[in-house]
Amino acid sequence: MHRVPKIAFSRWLSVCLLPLFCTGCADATEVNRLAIVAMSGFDLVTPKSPASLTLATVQIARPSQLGGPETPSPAGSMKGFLLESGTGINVGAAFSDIQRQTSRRFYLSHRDATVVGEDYARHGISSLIDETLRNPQSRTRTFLLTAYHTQASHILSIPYGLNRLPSAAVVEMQESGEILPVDVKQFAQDMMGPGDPYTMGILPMLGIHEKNKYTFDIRHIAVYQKDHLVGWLSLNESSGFLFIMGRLRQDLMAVHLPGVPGTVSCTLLVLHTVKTIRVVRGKPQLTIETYIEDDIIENGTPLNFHEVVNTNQVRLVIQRNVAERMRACLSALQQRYDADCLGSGRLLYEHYPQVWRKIEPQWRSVFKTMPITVTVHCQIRRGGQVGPPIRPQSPTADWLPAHG
Amino acid sequence: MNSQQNKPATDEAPPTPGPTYCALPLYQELEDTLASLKKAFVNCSDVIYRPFCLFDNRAACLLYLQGGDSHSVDADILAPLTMKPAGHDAGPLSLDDIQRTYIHIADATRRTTLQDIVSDVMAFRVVLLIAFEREALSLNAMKYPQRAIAEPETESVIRGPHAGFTEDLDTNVVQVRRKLHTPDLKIEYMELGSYSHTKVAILYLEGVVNPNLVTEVRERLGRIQIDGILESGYIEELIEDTPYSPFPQIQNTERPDVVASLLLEGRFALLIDGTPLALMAPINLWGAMASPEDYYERFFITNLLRWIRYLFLFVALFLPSIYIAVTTFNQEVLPTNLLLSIAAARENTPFPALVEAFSMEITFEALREAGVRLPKTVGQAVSIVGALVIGQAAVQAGIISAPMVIVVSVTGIASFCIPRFNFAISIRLLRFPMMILAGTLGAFGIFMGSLVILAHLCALRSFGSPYLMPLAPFSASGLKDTVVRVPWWAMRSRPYQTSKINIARQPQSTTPKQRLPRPSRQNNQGGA
Repeated sequence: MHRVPKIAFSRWLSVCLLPLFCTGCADATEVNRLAIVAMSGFDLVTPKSPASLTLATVQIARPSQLGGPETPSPAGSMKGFLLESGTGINVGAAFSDIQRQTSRRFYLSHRDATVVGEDYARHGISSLIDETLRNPQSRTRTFLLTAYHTQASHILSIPYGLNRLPSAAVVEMQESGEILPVDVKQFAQDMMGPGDPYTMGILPMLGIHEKNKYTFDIRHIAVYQKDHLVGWLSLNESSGFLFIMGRLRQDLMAVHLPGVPGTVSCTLLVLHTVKTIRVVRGKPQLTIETYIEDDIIENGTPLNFHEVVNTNQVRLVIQRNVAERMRACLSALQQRYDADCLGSGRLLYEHYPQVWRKIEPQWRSVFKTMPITVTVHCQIRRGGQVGPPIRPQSPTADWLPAHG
Repeated sequence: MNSQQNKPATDEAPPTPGPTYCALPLYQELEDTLASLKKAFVNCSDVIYRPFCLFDNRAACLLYLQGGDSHSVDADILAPLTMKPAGHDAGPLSLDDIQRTYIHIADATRRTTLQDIVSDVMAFRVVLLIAFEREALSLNAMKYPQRAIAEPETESVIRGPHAGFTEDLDTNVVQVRRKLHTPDLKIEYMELGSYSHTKVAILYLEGVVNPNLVTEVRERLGRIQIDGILESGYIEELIEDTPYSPFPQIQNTERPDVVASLLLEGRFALLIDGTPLALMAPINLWGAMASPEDYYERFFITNLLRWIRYLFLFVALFLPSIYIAVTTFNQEVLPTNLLLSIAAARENTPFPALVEAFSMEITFEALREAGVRLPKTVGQAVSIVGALVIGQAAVQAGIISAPMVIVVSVTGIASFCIPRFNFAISIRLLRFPMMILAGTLGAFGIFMGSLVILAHLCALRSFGSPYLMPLAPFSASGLKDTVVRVPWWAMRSRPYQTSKINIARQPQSTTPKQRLPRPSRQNNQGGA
């Protein structure tokens, strides 16, 4: 009779028993025992003090309010999340303070966005960036935003009307293609590289229909010099920055044509920006070439945009408009903030490493005076579905329509 | 104590039936022969002795088992042997004359020993004993009731033959023979089981099968010395390569077309009397995932269905463990919204995911078992009640979370997608250790378990043929019928591992290029 060999049996037994001694069971946490952090914010407790404590605020999702067909959607209210705050000498200590107040295990792996208050950002956010990169629980794809002239805790306390969790609204806005999404990984790369980082600004806004109810919007560009905030780009400058970076996927531009009554709206179809750097007599020169393709979607003028002459007018106005915005942005970055958020330092490092090594110590002064050439090419792909203008022709018009 | 003392020594010779009869020759006197046979058949009330007087005035007796249709006995044996033919005035007839002239039954053989007679009577044959003859005639004259040929319920197809095997070996052999009209289809009979004397037929296609494989089958079957073979499962467990493997190494089927197709690939089949299931080997993993219809339908839909089956094979084995791992250890892999939905569903459940999954899976298996064991109408009612209890009441009571019900349901459906029932059983079985590994070690445990299964599959053999062939060891030509099934015109060779001696299945004459006449050539010929 065959018997199961003792060695084989003991091997199988040990394989079966070994998992029980592994640390796996100790790490197990049921999903309903987690405090799932959806968004976090960081402020200074005493902004004017140089040794201020860090104030961390987190939005913890309330799953019981968020799931199930019977549960009414908590969108637009604070029912969907719980706000918890804690203080500490750094980010970790502040998180630890929150964990002490929370019955469930603090869980950062699903943190969609991190908002830094303006004061905290001006103080420097390297500690926060380091925590996000170093802590295995945190994920580096967390979007990073700077609170525009306010505290992060204020932003985190605002619910959003369309989404159950405000963090979901932030993610959707970041991925809409109308703004520049910046996550912690990209910020860290810019911060530790030859250039300077930037983030989008997030600002509270009063609702139009419900006067006492806040919502938020993502606008403006926060300009950093390495890890601390140095200022903001205006809306016009921010728009130019988006064109310079060439990562816009959606945009709508309304323009006036000189000497023509009414306005024309164009939607962006294609945006392609090429930045090239050259070194002339030891000094770098940046050239930015932007190619835009637009569709006309609204014609408030009496012009017929099936005529090439008329679409040419729109094309030239858009070119001029975009170029002006880009120049305004470049001027602010070069003259006002001294911050190379354009990535020109990285371009120089990549294409002219020897030149970069020479001018790296005085890069800020070089950047400030670096000549930048801006060229914008625009094409109008379609003049819309309707040929002739809808606007009635005025018999006393003081302008002459062009004939193709 | 007594039971231990009475326990027979297992290493000794196998038990044999009592020596109530032996290989003695027949007696000269019919009464003596009948007395010996009655001794052998003592208390066997179903043995019928039908004495009669032969038309040459000799005493004779028919022996057979009751319960069959005796019309042929009356018409083809008794009538010609009792009615004296006109012009017969000679003395006693010889047994040869009786067999050739007066008995109208083709299947007639001579028997010389009592043991042969006893065996034949037990094999439902009619034995004719005649006074003063040292030989008896064994006749196949009785028809015993048997099930009609029907479509196998476990392997039904939409396109393809609907005939299935029955419990009668001869009928089953005929069904295979009708698929392969060639003398190369060899059928060897064996008798297994010292009490059951179960007839087993080994079928193979000479010239295609590896002769060493047939020798190996004969040897393995020859080693069987068991008291009875009542079903194919007895033989399967007694001859498979790795008895401790959860995976089946011998395929069973109720379909003659499946047997014929595997014989054409150089495999052998065993048909066993008393069971509608044929055994076939060697097999591989890909064969376990193939349905007979795969080869009858067009290859586009076949491939789609195969991929769905492989997807659901993965689901059947891993879905509960993945659910346990991601809800207990690796929550970061889930999208945030899904995590929140699962967390919301599990907010009020009292048990950990592992316990929840285990209880649900065991309940599901119990439901399935109850559904199979009970009559069909009651079985359906049990399934409906079970589904309501598990799906609705348990969730509403907050004992089980809704996602777990979905996981268990999808897993259950997935296990039904596996065409071979015995392979699906293995997957169902392996699901439980995988769940324990996932509950203790998370994703790491799942990977560890998967590696063990993969290593085992790589080492597994079915009658010496690798279980993962043609993937491991790799054979590019064999890949034509694994995860994908190429069209029939592209399957020009048989599987290498089982048909080394005759690899060619068909020439290139039916490939798309060869199939249609070439217009250019025709035009040229016409012009010339």
